[in-house]
Amino acid sequence: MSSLYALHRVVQRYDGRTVLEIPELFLHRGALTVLLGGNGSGKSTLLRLLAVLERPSAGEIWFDGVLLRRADRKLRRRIGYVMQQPYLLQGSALDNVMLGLKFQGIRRAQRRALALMAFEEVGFTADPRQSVAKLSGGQRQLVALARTLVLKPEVILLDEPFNHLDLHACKSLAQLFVRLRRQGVSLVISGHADLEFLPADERLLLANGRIDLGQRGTKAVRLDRR
Amino acid sequence: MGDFEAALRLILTQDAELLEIVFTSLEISLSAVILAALIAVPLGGIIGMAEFRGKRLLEQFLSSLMALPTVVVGLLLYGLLSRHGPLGEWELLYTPAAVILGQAVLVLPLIVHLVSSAVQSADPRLGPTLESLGAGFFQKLKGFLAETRTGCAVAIATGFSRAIGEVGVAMMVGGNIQGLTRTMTTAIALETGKGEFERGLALGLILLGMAFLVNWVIAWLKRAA
Repeated sequence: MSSLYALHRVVQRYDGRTVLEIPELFLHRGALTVLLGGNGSGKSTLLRLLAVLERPSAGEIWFDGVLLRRADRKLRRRIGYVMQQPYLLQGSALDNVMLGLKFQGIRRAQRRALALMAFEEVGFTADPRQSVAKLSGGQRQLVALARTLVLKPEVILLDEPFNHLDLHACKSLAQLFVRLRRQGVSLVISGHADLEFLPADERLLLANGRIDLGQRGTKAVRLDRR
Repeated sequence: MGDFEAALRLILTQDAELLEIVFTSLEISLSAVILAALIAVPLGGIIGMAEFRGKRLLEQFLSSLMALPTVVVGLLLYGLLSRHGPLGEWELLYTPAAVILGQAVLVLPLIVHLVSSAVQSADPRLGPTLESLGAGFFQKLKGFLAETRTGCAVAIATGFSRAIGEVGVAMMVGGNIQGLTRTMTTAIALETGKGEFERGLALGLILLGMAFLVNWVIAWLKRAA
């Protein structure tokens, strides 16, 4: 597998406090990478950096051979990002999923058709025309995921996507991630130390903003051989 | 009590002169607010949304402009529009256009400041969400304004409230010409000066009613948000 992301001496500081320090890291194209760590370990910061929503205080992040400085729209379309507690815009679930397509100038009828397919893909069974205000936490998570998936990004960064889901929904989501990985989509999924049900290509453990090299890949190897 | 009854009678009988003044006022102030909003809403959105050096200073400046005395705006505009002023050729002095321009200048910083505050009070996840969905700068701006539309509507309503109640600009650059630039506030000043207290009182009551209505709309919008 070739590298999709390459990080060199990346440091992120907030108000002078270092929250993330990664000497070197490669994330592979088409891989399912799991990012584990407790609260405040730096998982969300790393994902935001990979999503080009923040710029590192120091160091370099390369995406597919391009040094990430400021994300232009073309580049953004290649990177999907679902935050821990997704923000849904006012309106219906359908409006939310169609929004990114609208930004691309796709016609309404096509937007609608693509959005409905994305709802089906993530297993969103509620009426997509209903207001987002009426959705449960789990449903909101699925809408946010459908909103990202519909844009067909090359890589999807998911910050604790299993947080608001019941066991059944977790299983279907895990199956979806495996399906996406088979389709060649790269995935980086963060979570607490309870994502063993995900057949990851690589597992990274973050603690206090640093990658625990001793833990890198060990569980992944075991899981892959199952 | 007699003046109050006479004022009420003027309102209830829909006195033609009174109605003309009310409609002139509404026409001028609504035009001014629409003109100001066309510039102030996107500008306030950009200031609220973007991070740039000197942003806090600009916000403080806008905040201080909100308290700009209306006569000062009137005076500056008079200087610009008078025959020997830089814009004297336009021959706008003592026309409704001059009052509209003056009121627009007056309420512009107010609307910019309030829209900027509304945008800044939006959920901090909104910006990253729009960016990650591939929004360009203007799509992001539109997204912010749509999500904070109640705050923007409150800003415009507050602007209208300030425009309809101001007297300095309308008096100085409008000239209080009957049927043309005579607004409710300038008419109140004129009628009271002439001793026609009941007419001034009738206009005052209508103005007060409008102020209550606008405030009610603002409160309702805030509750709805």
